[in-house]
Amino acid sequence: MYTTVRESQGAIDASARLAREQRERARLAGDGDRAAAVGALVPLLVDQVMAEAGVVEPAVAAKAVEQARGDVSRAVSLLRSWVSCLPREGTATAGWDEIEVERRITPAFSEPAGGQFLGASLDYAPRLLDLGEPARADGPADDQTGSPADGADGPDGEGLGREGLGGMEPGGEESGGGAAAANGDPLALPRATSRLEERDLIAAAEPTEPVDVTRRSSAAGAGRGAFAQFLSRAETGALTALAYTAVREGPKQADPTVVELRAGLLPVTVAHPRTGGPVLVGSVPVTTCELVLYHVQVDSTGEHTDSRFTLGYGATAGRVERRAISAAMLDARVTRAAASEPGTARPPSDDAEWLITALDGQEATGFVEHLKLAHHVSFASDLDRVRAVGAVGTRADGGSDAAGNAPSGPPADPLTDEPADASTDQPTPRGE
Amino acid sequence: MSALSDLLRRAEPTHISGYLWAYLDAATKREIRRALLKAVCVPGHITPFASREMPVARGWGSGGLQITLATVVADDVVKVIDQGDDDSLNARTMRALIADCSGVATTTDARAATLIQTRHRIPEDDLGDQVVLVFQVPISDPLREFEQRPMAARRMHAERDYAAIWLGLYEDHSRLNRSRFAHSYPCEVEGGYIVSSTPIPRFDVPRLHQAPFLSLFGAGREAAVYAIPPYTDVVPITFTDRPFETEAFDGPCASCGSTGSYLTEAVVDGHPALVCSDTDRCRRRQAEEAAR
Amino acid sequence: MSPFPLAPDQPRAARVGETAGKAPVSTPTATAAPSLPGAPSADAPTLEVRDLTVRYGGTLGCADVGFDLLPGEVLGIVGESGSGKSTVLGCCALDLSPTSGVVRLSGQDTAVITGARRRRLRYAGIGIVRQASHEELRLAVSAGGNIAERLLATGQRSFDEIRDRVAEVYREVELPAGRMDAAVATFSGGMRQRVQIARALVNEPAVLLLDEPTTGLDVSVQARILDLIRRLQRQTGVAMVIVSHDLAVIRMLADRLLVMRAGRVVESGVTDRVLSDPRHPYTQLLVSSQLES
Repeated sequence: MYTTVRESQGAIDASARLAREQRERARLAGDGDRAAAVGALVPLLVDQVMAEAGVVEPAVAAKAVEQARGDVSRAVSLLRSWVSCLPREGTATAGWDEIEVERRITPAFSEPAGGQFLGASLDYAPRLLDLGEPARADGPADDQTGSPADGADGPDGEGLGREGLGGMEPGGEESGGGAAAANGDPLALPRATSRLEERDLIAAAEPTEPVDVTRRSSAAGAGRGAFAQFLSRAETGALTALAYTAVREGPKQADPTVVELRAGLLPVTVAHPRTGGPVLVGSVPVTTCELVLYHVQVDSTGEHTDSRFTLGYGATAGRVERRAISAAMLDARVTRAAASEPGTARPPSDDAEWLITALDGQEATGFVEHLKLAHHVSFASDLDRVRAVGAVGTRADGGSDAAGNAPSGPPADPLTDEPADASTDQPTPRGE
Repeated sequence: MSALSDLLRRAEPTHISGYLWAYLDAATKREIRRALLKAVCVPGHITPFASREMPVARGWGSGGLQITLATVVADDVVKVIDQGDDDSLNARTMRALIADCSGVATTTDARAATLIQTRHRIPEDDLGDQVVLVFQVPISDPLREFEQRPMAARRMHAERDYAAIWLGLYEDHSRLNRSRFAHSYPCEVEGGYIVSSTPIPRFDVPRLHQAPFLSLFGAGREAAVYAIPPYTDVVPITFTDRPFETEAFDGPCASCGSTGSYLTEAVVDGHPALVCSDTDRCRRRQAEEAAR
Repeated sequence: MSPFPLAPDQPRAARVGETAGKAPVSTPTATAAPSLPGAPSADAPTLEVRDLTVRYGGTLGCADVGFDLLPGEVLGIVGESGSGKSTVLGCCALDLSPTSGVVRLSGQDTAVITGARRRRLRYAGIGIVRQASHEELRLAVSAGGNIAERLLATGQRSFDEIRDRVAEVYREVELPAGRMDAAVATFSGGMRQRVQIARALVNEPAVLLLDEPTTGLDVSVQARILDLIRRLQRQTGVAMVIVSHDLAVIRMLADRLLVMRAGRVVESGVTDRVLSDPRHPYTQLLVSSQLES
């Protein structure tokens, strides 16, 4: 049943075919409904909007995208403002080992316990723009789906494709298709990182109690759990850029290795309000990532060394995987910085407070775009000061440059005003 | 070759026939070749070029791919590996893309190849002077972790100002009694520039020294190439009284029994084990064992 | 056993006597470097500065400064902030390029030495101790590493030899045992100046340049650092230029003295003479304000 990433052209095929079939099914499902058609055409865009909004409701998110005419920031805004005043009926916690896995890759290990699953991914397909046929509203047709050659893929690839497909039914609340589920036991997929933990090679920050940052004034100071939630909602481009600045440092400083990327549907179970018993209320599509930073560090006294990998964890709603990887990268950087000595200079990627001020897409786009608003009152005030200062010059005594030997530059240094024959010059005491 | 092309077509409908032979246009090929010639003439010099957007993502081998497609000729036999493995996903798709747009023959046998594009390894077979190695490079400049400003780093290279790297080594040996460089070990090329040995493991570094083959390094995201011509001195920098250390492994390959190859963790018969990362050579050795 | 071998030229005492007895004392002309009549011609100056002028855009840094620094000699440059003394030192340290004029180090015109050779000359030929230690030291790097850097930059490649030499110099500047591998960031101001001194002297440069080396330190720390500098100078015989606004520092260390004001040298001569019998009105003012304070 399991297929490793090696020796698996069949798996590549199945993976890409799965993605296309999903697209096709969604397209059919969305016939006659504009928002549903949006969801069908650009599911990853809808995923991104849901992730940045922190709201998983595909149909509504698709409507938001359509209403915002494709402006992600505006769609996120619509979604967040819609949900902000809805009542909170309860909370649920779930471990990521409960994910019904549709995709699981382990770049650090070629053969993890439980195997690797490509799921629906175009990662491995060349990025060639398909200009071979007229553009159609539903994207490039695939006349080769189900071609007779499929049989050559081998049983592994076929199995993966079919099993994975079941779990990705549109609106797939009815779980029971994921690869792990097909195996009958999600626990058969232990975290790949545990291999390193067993050997005591991992330094991780302590998890903190989950808090809801949407019900706080700021995620700052609320612990790692709040930071993780903040990152899960961060703006995709900004998140990626900051993680990128951290990745491109040299290999000794921060070499990151993704240990595991896992995506699938996470069942959400809440306590029944009357009976207190667990009730499955649905599943949310999520992507999670664990990565480690190579880390051999000596403290500033030169006496204490730490040679464990620093663990970072990131999660996001939906399937935009760079969001989870970037969040894990930043979590690891912040964890490592927190464990390093005070006073060490840190880039922004290592500073949770800095990230919290910069990475929320709504705060950023809103404030940048507010500059379009009328500002003539405050601008008039600026003008007043500029004029007032310009009128009297830059010196407190109002004097201008007496010697005039640097007419257009800054005030000349008195040195240049010295007569050539310094010996005739009377010494003056320092004006202290 | 054609089988792979077919596989690729089934994986994602592409209309690669609409693209040029070996994907790149003639002007681009000429430019990349010119940069490569300069790089070969000045061994180890990080040579800028106008890196093109490629049908793979930045950071996924776009630099190596540009070199391969700019240098490949019709009678080349191409091998592509990732982590030493011909069958890894990335290697398969890259190989299929190269074959598909150029029609060249492919192989997994390093001894039969004339062009080997690689990520993170040098094949362990003895390679002759008939082959060109193309390395995919994530971070081209060994000074990066000491100097982030590109112009300053360029000046340091020009002046062979590598005190910062040596200082890093001094600190490592003082405090840890060993170097912290894992992969990408900095190497001095022909007594001049210091280059990053890409993320090949230290195990592979000695094989670059006086190698009969030409090594070309491509960093697409950073828009740079560099080269090590055949029979060039490549010396991992280390103190005269501190030997350069390669990776050590506990025991032989669980599959072929080799004691002299680079091993990675895998699962054999349900148990964690160490096996060769150069999978093609490992398979051949297993076959030889079986035949014996 | 001192880690610093004695300089190959004559003992310092003889030179001081000679200098003190013969140095011409006059209001300096702008261009003529104070020279030592009768000095043996084989005794080429370590550092020769001629007609040195530096302009920063429209602002004058220094003008027409000239002097010779002989092997083993200590030259003080005194003046208030903005007098141009640090500009002169910056040219000697190869940090700055003169607008006009010449700086020769061991007979070589430094203007024509560029690129890698210039960097090498800086590492091998010139030791420098700056007031702001972070301008010279890498704070995240260990004390030993900061000292070793000059050896590494000049091509030494034996770890054990480098380590031994660094440890020797580290001890010589009286830094605390056991902290050699600690980052300089964990060191106090006085300790950082000691690291700078060790770094400057580790490869026996021809000249040691000190720019306000004790300014900003506690008085007791200042005194100990000055003692150290004086001892090491005598021990090694390194030629030295020390810039300070503090006459006490100059008096303690310098054989000869340039007084600068507004970018120009207003008076020069043997330290004792200038300070006991200042001739230029500005020097007189400096000396008197020093005595008053």
